[in-house]
Amino acid sequence: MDQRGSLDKLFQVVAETLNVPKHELSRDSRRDSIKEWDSLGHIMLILAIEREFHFKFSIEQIDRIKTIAEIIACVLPEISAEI
Amino acid sequence: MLRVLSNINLEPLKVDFRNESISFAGYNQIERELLDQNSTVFSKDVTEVLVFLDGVGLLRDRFYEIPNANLISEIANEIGQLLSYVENLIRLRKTVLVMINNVVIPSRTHLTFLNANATPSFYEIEDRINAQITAMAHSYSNVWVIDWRGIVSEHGYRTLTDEKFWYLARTSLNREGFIALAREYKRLRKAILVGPKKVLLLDLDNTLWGGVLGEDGTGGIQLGEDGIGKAYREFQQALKGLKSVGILLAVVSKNAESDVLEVLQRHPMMVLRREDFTAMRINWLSKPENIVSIANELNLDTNSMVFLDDNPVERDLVRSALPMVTVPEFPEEAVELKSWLLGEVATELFGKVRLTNEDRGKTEQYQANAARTELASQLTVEEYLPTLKIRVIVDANAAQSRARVTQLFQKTTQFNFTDRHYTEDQIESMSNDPNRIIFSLQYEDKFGKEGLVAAAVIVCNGTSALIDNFVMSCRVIGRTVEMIFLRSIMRYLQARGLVTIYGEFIPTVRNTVASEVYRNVGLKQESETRYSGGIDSLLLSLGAKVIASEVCESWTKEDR
Repeated sequence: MDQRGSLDKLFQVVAETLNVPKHELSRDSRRDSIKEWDSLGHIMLILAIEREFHFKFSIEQIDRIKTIAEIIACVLPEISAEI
Repeated sequence: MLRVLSNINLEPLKVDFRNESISFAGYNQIERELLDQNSTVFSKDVTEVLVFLDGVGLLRDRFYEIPNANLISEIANEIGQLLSYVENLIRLRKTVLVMINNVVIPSRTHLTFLNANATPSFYEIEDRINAQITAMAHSYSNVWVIDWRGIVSEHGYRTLTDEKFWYLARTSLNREGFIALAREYKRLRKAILVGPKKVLLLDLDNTLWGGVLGEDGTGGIQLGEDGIGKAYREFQQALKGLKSVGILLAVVSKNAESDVLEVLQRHPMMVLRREDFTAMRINWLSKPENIVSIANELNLDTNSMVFLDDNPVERDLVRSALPMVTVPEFPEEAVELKSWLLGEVATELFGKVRLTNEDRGKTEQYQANAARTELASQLTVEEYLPTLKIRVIVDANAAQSRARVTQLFQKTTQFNFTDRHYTEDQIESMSNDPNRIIFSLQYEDKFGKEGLVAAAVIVCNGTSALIDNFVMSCRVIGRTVEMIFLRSIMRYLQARGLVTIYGEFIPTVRNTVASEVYRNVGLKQESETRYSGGIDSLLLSLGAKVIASEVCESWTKEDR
């Protein structure tokens, strides 16, 4: 999958897991600005992304992540570096 | 609403039940919730309950001890206690559907190889717990076991769990684990509430054997004990297994019929033979046409049919022409056929939770029906029916038939007078009620046994009786079986001094086939749905309509 496809898939997973419209999400979306992204939502998000991207977060990463940009930095570092 | 109780945090499961109402009792709240009758699980909104038990969660610190007899009995007591709470819930909320998993204890422990080589072991504890759970589910008609042990053995403990989530959020499953649990739950629920599909329609070339019969010849097709031929042979064995639990197999193939019959009769490696198939369409007509023709022959809806074919064009054709037929995708490789059939296809579409005697003889029943149809086409109805040599047995309140009687009331939508679908619990409580009588009828004719095909519930009140519902399997429609059955019921009531009979007919979209019965036997229509008449005169009118048949009424022996 190309980079754009991966990024698109990531937003798709976030939207489906948190049950929010995809168009309302951006890299800058923050945990404290999305009601559904509470502590349970966070665990559900980590669970879903780990499966979809064959990726394993460390406990430190999971604690630290506050924005979608930070998820991208973990899961798709090559895309993150471009911006 | 589905209420989830667990000794781990199962809340992430809600993403898999997005379109349903679901709520959670929270981490380790099983006992608290079940002990408090004011808690959510007892509320009327709750229609389904999932109890999920994590094996490590049950053992807690004892997971690091050496298993001994004391530990085993301690755990058994705890489980017994917990199950008794669940039983209490079922007693108070009779209509709720409860699903509880069998337990898995991870095999890697401080005991290393002792777990498999010494006794007692954690395996014994696991077996003991699961035996208790199974036994409990067996004794209630609305409790079912989710085979978590089976899922773990299929996918592997490590694939479904991740310790990280235990430390982070007190859940031990990873996303894979949640998906597997949700899928199994939904499949089991579908098997319980909707029931399995009835017919498996099979292509032949590159489906039941490798190669093309018309090109490769009987000796050239791949089917045997070696190489890829073995994959097709085992696929056939798995199909035969499905047939043994009541799934009807049928052939829909574009081939020369004589070539196929040659293979079915003479190929030494065929597992499936002519008599294993309820219907066959081997010709050059389109597959949708042939499927419709099979549906008509078996008197079944196309939505009870599943079509397997390696050819994507045929699959698409059937999907677009007959959208009610289920058409799964087909595996890329023949070696995957067996596990695909038993995994995705069978659990998703042919899930069974009970096995009745009728299931075991299903194919023979339908084949006998086909023979009856053939005979009927040569004679008029009046000439034909007596040649069937119908024999029936009518029972009143027969305890051993309860499961089948329930199944009949649940499944029958066409020949059903009032659309009352009693549950097993209702049937049981009615059979203990002295004013209610449950009648059932078993049918047999010269072509074979159909088994228990009709049932009725009668409510007595002084000298009158009401037919609360009356159902009959569509397999015996058109043979005056309903008249024979009604006559036996009336004889029973007459012998007990009853005088007046009331009947109801409540129309639904599917039961028009039964709409004229009460009028035809001379009952007077009192209102839109209610009929009445004298039992004596009804017996006279039935006597004239019933065809010659041998009737055994089980109670006449008792009475003497």
